[in-house]
Amino acid sequence: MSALLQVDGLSLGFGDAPDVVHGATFSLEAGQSLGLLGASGSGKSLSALAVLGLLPEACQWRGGRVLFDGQDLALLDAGARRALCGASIGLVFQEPFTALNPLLRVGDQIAEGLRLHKGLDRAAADREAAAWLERVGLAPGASRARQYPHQFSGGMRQRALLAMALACGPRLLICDEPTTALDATVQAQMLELLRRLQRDLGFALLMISHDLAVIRAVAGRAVVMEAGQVVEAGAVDSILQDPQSGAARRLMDAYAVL
Amino acid sequence: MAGPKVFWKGPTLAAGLALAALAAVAVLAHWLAPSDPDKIDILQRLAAPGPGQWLGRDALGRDLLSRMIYGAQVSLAVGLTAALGSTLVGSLLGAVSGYLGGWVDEVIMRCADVLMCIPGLFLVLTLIVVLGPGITNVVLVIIFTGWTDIARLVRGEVLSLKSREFVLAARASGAHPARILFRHVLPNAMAPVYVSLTFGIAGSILMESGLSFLGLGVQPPTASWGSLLSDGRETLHEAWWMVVFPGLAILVTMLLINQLGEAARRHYDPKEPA
Amino acid sequence: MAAPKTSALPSFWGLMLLRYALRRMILAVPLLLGISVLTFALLHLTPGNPVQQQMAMNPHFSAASAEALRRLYGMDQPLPLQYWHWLARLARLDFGLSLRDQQPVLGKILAALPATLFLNIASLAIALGIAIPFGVHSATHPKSRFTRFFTGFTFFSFSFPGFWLALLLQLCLAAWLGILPISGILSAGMDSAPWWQKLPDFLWHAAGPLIVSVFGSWAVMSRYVRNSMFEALGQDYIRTARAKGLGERAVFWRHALPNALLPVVTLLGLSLPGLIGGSVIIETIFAWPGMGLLAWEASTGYDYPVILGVSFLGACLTILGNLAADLGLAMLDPRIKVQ
Repeated sequence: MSALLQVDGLSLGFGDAPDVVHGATFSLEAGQSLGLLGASGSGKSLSALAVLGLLPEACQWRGGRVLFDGQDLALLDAGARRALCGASIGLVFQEPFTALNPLLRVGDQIAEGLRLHKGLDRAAADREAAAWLERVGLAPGASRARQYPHQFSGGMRQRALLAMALACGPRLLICDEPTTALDATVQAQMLELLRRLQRDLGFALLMISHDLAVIRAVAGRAVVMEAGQVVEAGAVDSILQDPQSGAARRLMDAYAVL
Repeated sequence: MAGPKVFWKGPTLAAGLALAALAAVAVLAHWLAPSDPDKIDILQRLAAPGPGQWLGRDALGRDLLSRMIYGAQVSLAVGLTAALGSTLVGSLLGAVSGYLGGWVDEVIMRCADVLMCIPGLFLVLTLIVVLGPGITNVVLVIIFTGWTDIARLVRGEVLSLKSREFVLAARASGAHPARILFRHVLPNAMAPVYVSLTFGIAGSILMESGLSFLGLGVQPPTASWGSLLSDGRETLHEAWWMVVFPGLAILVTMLLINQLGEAARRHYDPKEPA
Repeated sequence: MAAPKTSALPSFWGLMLLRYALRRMILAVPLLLGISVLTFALLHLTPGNPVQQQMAMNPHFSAASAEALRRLYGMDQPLPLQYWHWLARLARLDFGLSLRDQQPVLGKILAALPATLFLNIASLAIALGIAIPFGVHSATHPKSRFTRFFTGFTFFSFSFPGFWLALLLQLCLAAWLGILPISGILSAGMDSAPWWQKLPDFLWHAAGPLIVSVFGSWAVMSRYVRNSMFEALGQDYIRTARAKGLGERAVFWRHALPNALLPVVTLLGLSLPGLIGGSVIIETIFAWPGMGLLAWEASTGYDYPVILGVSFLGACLTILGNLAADLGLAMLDPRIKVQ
């Protein structure tokens, strides 16, 4: 059975500078979780953005390919790729404070995707958005949906963003450092929520983080990246007990200090 | 923030050199002007540009080129002193206001608010009525009305610097507030000041020209580019050169100074789209 | 964007907005007091006073009459009392009589106000109408040839002295080509003409002043809009919107543009002093009978009741305008706490 997500030898770079991602290879089966572990600047975020075609304009695709459900993403036109975003692949970013449009209600921002991908009318989309807010622990959904982002705390916003990413039922959820901007207790709650949702909805999860504890909470396998390359791969626990690469060891040291 | 070598490239360097040349012309007016700017020659009134009067003559037969060269003195002198004055006053008041806070901040900012409420030129005109026309009063009025913007800017910078570590460290060491303000805080708050000063010179020159144009700046027979335009307005139909050349001088000076100002702004604020 | 959808809430929202407006108006009171102090100080600094002027103009003015006049103007009273009288007069908008023609100052100002308001509001609207599309386009297409030309042209326009442009317009279009009138607001004899003749004549006269006024402000506005749009496009919520699969059009119209236009409302607020006082030179050159021309005539004639009245009333209008801009912003931006 072919993997849901297959990244083969991906290479990215800017201008004349050397590759920021070089020959990255990893795969993810349907319904499974994979951690993408690395320090900042290791190229892990860019690899994730490449999957969705959200790379910054200045970033060049220098080699390799990304297959989603057997389809080469590079062969898709902009419209087809847009159809994937949100509907088949969801993405949650790091900064909850700036990721929501301050002028629109939270419910409207979730409903937007529902109306686009699932063709719901306004009333149905609003109800669905409210239901999703409750599913991520923001009850009562209807009144929360009518609030604006500035009325939510950081943790609440991240939950709302999670709801937004999952609302259209994607088969793959990519989380890029979703808990880094939150404090410890809120982090734990967020990860618990993520685990529960994955159990209930069965999506594949790609968790990107520099924190091995975060990855361990949601994934059994991980891939370690450093300076744009994959330097280690395997079960999270074996990386933890016996790190093979320098990068993993350094991340472990940072982890151990805590 | 890039260094001076990167700053003085291409158009910026050209603008700087051109302005230096202009300043030189103004300073050396006495030797460069082809004739006495105040020399009246009725027989030659409104003579068109040509040999002997390269830019033409005005209604009293005075040579326009000479008057413009001396006019450059007025414009540049007023522009520089007024801009320096308002920048100095504004920076000082803004820094003190931001650093000390409390009632000092309140008083200074309320004063600024009141001044900024009276629209446009109305305040300037009112002050000229009170003080009377003339170049010195123009400079004073520009300073009195111009300090508010730079004060706001500097106050903002000082406020954000006040809580930075190096300032807290200086305060913890027991240094006198004035010393902290001048040695630690102000030097780091200077970026908007340089930009504001450059654009301020352009603004002051424009303001002086405008006031002289309205008859409230230089008094006859002194020439300023603004007053020359006002003279030209009277003989609009007969002497196009009186309207074209002084205005051209103002435009060129504005372009040069604004070029430097833009370069300064890009230099200090790399985030801004070019 | 920020108004509630259900029908039960609008009156509640309206009430909160009203309280917000009232609170801002109360904050304006110390400002008005400050302006009254400033104008009072300026009043007493003007060289010469009405009594001296009367004496200069009328050699038969006796000492007794001078004393009576002094008492009339309250000049024999202590300063604080004089200030109190001044404050009372300002509250009634009684600025006295013009020294030039003995007409009530308030009347002269109100007569001149419409011309200035028309000129500046029309100019602002036109300048915005040009600046917003140009600014937005140059932010969304930063490398196009049009954008590069546009950037250069705004720089040039920004440096161009407005009053020179006015003179050049008069020179070329009026004196040489006769396309535009040299000055004034209506042609001779048009006062009694029917409106369908008056209106085109009025617009024909307004063309010159409008062109100069727009030329002076559109460059700065375009730059502002462009920076604002640029910043909005770089925000994280744009990335979120794209990650949801929204097309460029939806991203632009629903997410980028509304956020980019909010600072423009702030800009409108900042342009308010210019709306009233920014056209002095233009009005003087084109003999446009507005507050600017009034102010200039007053300043060259040392008609200080008029110039003080113009300044005070101008300040009041500015404060009102700022209040309107604040309210507008409060209605559009849900982050502003109306409580």
